[in-house]
Amino acid sequence: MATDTKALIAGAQADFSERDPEFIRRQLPLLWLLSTLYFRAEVTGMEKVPDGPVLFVGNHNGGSMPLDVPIFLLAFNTYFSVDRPLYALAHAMLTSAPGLGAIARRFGVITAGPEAARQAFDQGASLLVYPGGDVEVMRPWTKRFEINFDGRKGFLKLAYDAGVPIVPVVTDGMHDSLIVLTDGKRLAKTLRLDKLGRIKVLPIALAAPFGITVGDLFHVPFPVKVRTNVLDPIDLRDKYGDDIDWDHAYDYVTSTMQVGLKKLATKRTLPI
Amino acid sequence: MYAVGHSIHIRRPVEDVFKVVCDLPSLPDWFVGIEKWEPIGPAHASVGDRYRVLMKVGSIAAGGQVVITEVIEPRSIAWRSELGTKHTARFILDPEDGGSRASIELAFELSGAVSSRLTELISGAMVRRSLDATLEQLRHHCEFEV
Repeated sequence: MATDTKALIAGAQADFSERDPEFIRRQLPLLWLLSTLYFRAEVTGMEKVPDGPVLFVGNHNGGSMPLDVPIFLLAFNTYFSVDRPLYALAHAMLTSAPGLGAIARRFGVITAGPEAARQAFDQGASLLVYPGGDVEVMRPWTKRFEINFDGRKGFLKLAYDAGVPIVPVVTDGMHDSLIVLTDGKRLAKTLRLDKLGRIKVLPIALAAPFGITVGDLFHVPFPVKVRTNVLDPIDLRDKYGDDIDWDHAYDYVTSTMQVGLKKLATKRTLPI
Repeated sequence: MYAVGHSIHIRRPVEDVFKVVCDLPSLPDWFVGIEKWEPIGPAHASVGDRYRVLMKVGSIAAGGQVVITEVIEPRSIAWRSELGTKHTARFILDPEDGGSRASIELAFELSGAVSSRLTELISGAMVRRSLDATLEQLRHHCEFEV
């Protein structure tokens, strides 16, 4: 049990050779069907992505089924082709999950960690990160138009040290695919989930097909309209030079994304 | 009149925010959803200035001509429609915790009975989201770009 717990926290080692461009290419038609028919997804702004390695920074939505991630991967891989490598950093819960973890790793998902991220940039690849992680992906539905990175600034240092631009990506709609009533932070702390598996939340949600769920281990997302927009790149070295103020940079990036998310939300006809 | 409103805290003094708000020719830079905002004659951010305006609401752009009815430095700016969709709008700035509390109130009226009430209800929610995004953009503009 102790070994299992350790594996769950540490996750699979980042093995960059596991990303399988041919596998991704074969999955694109299925992803397109899911994206287009089920979520009526729109992805805009991909033309703003500069050449070379970049750090995509997204807001995280949709509870345990954040399907805006594969929608973005579909858009990226069709716009730039599967030959431009992109890795997504994820919680060890995903990369070490039986079955699903192997599929995710073939898509280029690797266990989140600063060393793995640096290695990806060294190889000339781009990275996709969701700094808000479990806290943001399980935020209450009433806060669906809010960016919540939980004060995590590691992504800034990562981009700054590697000298790669940050490309913010905002998504609206996916957080309607379940209705998170409360994120259950207090419950998670009481149950020591933070210590056991770096899990800070234990949400109570209204979701298909079980109705009210605790923990949201699985649900079938409601077929909601999803919009993703890629914003203008932010080069921290251009903006701050050698003397970066991390708090200011954090406020600037999250503020930029907050504006982008709320502008995207104005495209909605109905609140949900 | 169907009224919607929103407010936000901005980490800048009211004088700084007012400078941005009273620069009316630049209003489309931060007012989300405004597709057309053209001065009719000279524009000095003073009472009596007129603008042609179009604002995206759902599938159409609603608008007409508005006249500035109130400029109280550094507290508020207001306008009302003269032509087109009947509406009034007002920006209010109040000092708050060393910064500002910026509020927008927008009221509009549609012709008709039952259908207009339903339209007001649905379009009102859309306008509210536009005002929310507008204030967020104004906050970002004041805090990071001026």
